[in-house]
Amino acid sequence: MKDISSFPPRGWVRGLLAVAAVAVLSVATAPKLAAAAATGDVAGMWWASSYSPSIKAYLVGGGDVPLNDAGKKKYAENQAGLRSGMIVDRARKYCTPDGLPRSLATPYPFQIIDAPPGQMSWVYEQNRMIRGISMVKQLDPLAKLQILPFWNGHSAGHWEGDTLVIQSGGFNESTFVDATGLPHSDELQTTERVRKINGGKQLEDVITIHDPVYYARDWQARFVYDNHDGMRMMEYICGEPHRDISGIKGVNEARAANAARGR
Amino acid sequence: MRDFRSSYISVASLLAGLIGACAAAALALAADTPAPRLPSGVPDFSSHDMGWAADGIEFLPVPGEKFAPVTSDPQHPYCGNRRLAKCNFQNLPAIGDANNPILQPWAAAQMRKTNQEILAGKTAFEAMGRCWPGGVPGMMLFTAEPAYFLQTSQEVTIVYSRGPNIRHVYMNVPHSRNPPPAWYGESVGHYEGDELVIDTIGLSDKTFVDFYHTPHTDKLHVVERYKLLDGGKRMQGIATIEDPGAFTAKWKAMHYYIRHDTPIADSESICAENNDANYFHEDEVPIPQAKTPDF
Repeated sequence: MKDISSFPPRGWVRGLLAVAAVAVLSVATAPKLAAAAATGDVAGMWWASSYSPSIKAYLVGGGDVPLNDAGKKKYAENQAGLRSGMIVDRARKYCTPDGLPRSLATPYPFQIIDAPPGQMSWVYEQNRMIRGISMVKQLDPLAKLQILPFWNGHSAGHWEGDTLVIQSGGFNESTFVDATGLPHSDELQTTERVRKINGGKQLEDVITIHDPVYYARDWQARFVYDNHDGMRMMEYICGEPHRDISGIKGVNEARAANAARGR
Repeated sequence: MRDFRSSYISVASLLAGLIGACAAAALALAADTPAPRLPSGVPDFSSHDMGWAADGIEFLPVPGEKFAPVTSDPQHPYCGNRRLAKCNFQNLPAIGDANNPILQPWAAAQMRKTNQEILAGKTAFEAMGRCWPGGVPGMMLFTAEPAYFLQTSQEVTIVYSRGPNIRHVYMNVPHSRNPPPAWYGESVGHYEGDELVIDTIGLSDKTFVDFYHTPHTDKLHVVERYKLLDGGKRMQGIATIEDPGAFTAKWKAMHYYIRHDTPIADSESICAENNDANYFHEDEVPIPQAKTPDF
């Protein structure tokens, strides 16, 4: 009589079954794993062709930013402080980092470098800003990131097809959302979806802003840059003459507005 | 009857031999561990999950070289944070040896004047502390925070967390004709075996060569050679420096770097964060700042 207590069969039969099972599983999961491992390419030199001091110009869907009551109060305080000089726009006076999302509006070129291994580095000409993005680690929980907040936040990225998805958090509160003084708190968290468009001639960065302290809901802004591979970065020393960006649409208007406000 | 004692000795001898062989192999391996390389085959300076921190703030002489970098004036030995325990915890300023034979008379005179001002109590300009670029080779001595080498086939971008400061080294291309003077100059590079070679010209005369305020002119030409040591645990940088406007001869300076286990994604050190206020030294050079917003 067959001893059914030995089922599944021992020895080589069990080994064969195990190998077969692994093979079947491998075939079933291979496409999924390959898709997850697929990466795009957003490296290169990028430069916006227009600039606006207000992030309203970049809002997805138009309209206005959804400030809540606390946000409206803080925004009014910031604007009054910037007008009176009681609040210093440190990013423009001392060339400290613009933070997110303000840095995305830069009228100066920036470089995305697919290095060092396991990380991506965004190197900005303006203010010599650096964003280091881990491609091998997940972003820590917000509470942990807030222990050591950064001007440009902490970032981790991954690929979804040809789109680089960057999640950031752990920002300090020394930056504005835009040059008008739109506020953010240290609970700001962002998700960027970055991809090449128009046959690689342009780069698109759609950023989702999540900051429940000052905004009633999440909102999005879209930034587009032209490819300038082959162009070299120039030095940027605070207070010294820089690259001529007067040809960038909106820059002269912004400078005239600053001068009119005595800034 | 089987001799268990001799068997025991045999096994013990075999084990001892094996351990000895393993130890010898490990030692040989440690001594000859090859430097890591990128898939492209070039040495991997790229700080995969770490950066490079300068080991000290002074250039070292290169053994066998006739000329050496400026060091501390023998009458006024420097004592910084790293040496406090050796000098009764007295923090003594860096007074350069103006008698170093590499200095042309005007450069020596300028160093003596700076030395006198420092000894009289003036706060000397210090690029790293006041958020100004250190120039080349001065950037080699930026110590407090790690530096990162971002290597691509066309460019090596060196990011010094402190500041931050950024240098762009364009690979396998010639220099431009008469590049305008700039804080970091114009750098081109290539690999020679295990070394990353960076050639820099077009440097403005606003910076100093080192921590001792050794001056230079815009004729300064620097060739840096970086090499990984101990299987990538340390890095050596040797700079060959010539400036017919400031130095009597071509000379070399050496520096070492140690691993700083902070990946670039976890590194941010904004020099201008708090340094606009001169809390203790009202005579300090202001940090870079704009009178009007750029845009």
